[in-house]
Amino acid sequence: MKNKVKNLLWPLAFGIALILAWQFGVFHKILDLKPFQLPVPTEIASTLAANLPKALKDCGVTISGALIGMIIGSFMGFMIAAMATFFPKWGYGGMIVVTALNAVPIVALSPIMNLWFSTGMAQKIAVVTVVCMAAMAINAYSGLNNLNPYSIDLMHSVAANKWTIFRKLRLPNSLPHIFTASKINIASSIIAAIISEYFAASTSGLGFGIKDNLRKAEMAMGWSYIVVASLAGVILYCIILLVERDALKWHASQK
Amino acid sequence: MKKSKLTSVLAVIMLILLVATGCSSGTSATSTPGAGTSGAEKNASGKLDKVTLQLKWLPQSQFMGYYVAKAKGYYKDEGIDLEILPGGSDIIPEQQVYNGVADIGVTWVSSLMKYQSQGWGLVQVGQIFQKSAMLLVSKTSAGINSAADLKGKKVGSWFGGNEYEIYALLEANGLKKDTDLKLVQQDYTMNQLLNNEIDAASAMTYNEYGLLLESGLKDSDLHVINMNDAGVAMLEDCLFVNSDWIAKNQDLYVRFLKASIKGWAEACADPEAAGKVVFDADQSVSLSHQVYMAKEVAKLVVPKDFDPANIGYIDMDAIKQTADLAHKYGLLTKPAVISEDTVTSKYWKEATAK
Amino acid sequence: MAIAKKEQRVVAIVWVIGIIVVWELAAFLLKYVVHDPMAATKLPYPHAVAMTFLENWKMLLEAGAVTFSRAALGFALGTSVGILLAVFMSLSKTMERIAFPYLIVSQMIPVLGLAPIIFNIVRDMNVSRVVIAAYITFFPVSVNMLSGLKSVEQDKKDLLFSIAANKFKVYQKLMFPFAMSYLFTGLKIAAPMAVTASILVDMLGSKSGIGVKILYALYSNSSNIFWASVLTSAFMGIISFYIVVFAERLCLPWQNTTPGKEGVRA
Repeated sequence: MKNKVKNLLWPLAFGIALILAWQFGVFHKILDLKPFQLPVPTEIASTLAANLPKALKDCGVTISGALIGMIIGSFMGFMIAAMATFFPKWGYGGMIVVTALNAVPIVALSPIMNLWFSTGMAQKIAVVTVVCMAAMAINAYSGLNNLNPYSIDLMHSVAANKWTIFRKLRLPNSLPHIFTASKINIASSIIAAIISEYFAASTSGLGFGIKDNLRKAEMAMGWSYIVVASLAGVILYCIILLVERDALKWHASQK
Repeated sequence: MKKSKLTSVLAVIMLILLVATGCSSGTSATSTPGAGTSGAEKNASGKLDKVTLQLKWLPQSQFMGYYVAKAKGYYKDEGIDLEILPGGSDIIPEQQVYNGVADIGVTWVSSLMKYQSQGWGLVQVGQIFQKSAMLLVSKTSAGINSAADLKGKKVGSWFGGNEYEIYALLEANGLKKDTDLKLVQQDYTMNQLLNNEIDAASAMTYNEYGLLLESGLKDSDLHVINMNDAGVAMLEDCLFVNSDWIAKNQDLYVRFLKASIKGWAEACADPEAAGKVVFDADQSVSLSHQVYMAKEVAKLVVPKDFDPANIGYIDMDAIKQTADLAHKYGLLTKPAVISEDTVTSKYWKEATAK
Repeated sequence: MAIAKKEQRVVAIVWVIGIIVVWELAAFLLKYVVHDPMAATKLPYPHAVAMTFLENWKMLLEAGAVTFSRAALGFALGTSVGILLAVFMSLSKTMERIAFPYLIVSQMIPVLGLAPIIFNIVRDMNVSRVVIAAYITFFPVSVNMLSGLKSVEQDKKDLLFSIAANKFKVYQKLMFPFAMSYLFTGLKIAAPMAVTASILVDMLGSKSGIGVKILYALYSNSSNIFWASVLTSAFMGIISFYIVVFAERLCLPWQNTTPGKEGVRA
């Protein structure tokens, strides 16, 4: 219990200190910025409060796209990793392809995806899917294959078949890696969704709001969108953490 | 054993760092010769003042006057060593100039007014485009023959400050932007219109309209709504500087303007050659497109019955209209302050004085 | 082992050929079966892209080199920061409590939205480019390194402490070697990300680099150059990935992450 309080208290104290420093112009002084370049927290908060319904609607659009894309992408990534594990000879090629996809700059593909998909939502999901696939495939692959020495020999010695080995040995072993990938993917899926909105054929979403307002010198409005995006990401991240804690009670990292 | 592993990891990281720094110093070495040669030339005629110009967008004939003046050495004649910084999707000229990354910037007047109204100490010191180049283009098959026909259609805009002429156009024709039609974001290409995903698209006369022609459409296939004809034109490319910078560099700016006007006049007189100069400076788009753009831009910089000697002239009525429209359609929350501190013809008069 | 390697090469070649055939077929279908008027932009023929690449290889490689060197610099900076942060967080629970939530928050801020703000703060285009690339890369490195360091079982740590090893020794002998495989997993994700970041930064506005080529091609509707540039960036990402794989093999030869060995084992 005491630990839990500490868990909350420290970052909270740090955060409050940070916000106070920001509010009272410490950052402005250090970085030599004017309030109209970097709005202070109270201004951001009041702007956000005034535009909350619109911000939440935009947030819903972005986050739902990011989540759907992340789920599809993670699933595909895991399947590729599993294929590469089952068929090490031919399947590994899939890993190479995924890594290659990971290297394609998504921003560049966004306008092309505009042509492939007529709605902004489908385009967003497609971009996020591609982005999330690679991190999951790489992590899941290393989880499925970095086994304890001799454990596979042990499985062979009890005449376990490939499928049993996968279920009883590889899958549990890959769980921590899968959660690591999910944590990375939460962050990158939101970023990818936002970036794709910079180019999407729609005027909703956090990405459009950030870009549009920053260009128009509506700094406070732009920042309030950034705040909403960050909060949404943190909440999703916390959900993953909670699931991980329950699923990985046995693992050293949770002790 | 393990220690040696650790050492090898460190060694690899060091190696990466070394390669990286090596590469980056390599690139900076390759990128300097351009600046270096002009530096060597200027040293013969005395010391040159370094000035950086931030463009609003990619290097293209939209900014041909500066490229021509640079290529012909007009800046050097005025004792200036000019560096031209290309723009990009996330480069905001107002911020670059305010931060001192660039000395002089090119932007749209309405956008500049917005920054000024937020307290940014920037001042407009020249107006290059006398006309608005903004069009709403549709395929004739869409049946949009006048602005009123936009009702119920899907219309593209770049937003980020570029949507206000469209807002004004709609309002002037009794259309409500939120309910009567659907405004969507347009990317840098014209693919959405070509692909029939939108009914009408924003286009600049000198650029996107040309892209449509290059993709095989003819003038007769397209219907155009021109903002100038519709009476909702807002001024576009202008020159602006940081108020603090200009206070100390009045003479320098006048010299820059003199050379730029000379470059623009020459470019507008011979757009074909100007397009070639821009293409040679930075091969961002094809030569034919640069030449097309140069010809169209010339019409905006030196419209009919406009004396090329007056390039850069700030038409206060047009400024006023831009400010009024920007305020009326929501870009500005309060009317723009038009004074010597925000828009000044002082330097232009000095530069054009005989 | 030698046979496995040869087989591996055959597999790779078959995959590459397979992808090209599928792509070529898809482009053909799009153009002649679906009759899509935008086929050449949506999905051009791979051979047309390859031709464009060969015609412009010098320009593309030069642009690629500029971008790659920026990516390497950002990657090096991001990796160092990421590892340092992970070590600090593993040293003290308080530190982790304070820093970790903010690490996450930092990743939720879209870097492209940050770009104008970073320009505002750094006021030097070249420095801000490297900062953005580093900003994107440090997170996967940090998260992976930290989970590696935390995965060391307590008994092992206790054992080392019981033979009077100090904290530095424990890190050097136990924690770092243990966390290495996690670190490299992070690096494998981060390396292509650094390249992507570097390309993004080019697209924000720059004089040279592959991102600039992409932007110009996009803008001027030259779809073959566009696709050739995208292909070049994909190659750059793959190369960066393999540099990390190579480094991993060099540093952790006992690891089993290379496909050849896998084949022998499973």
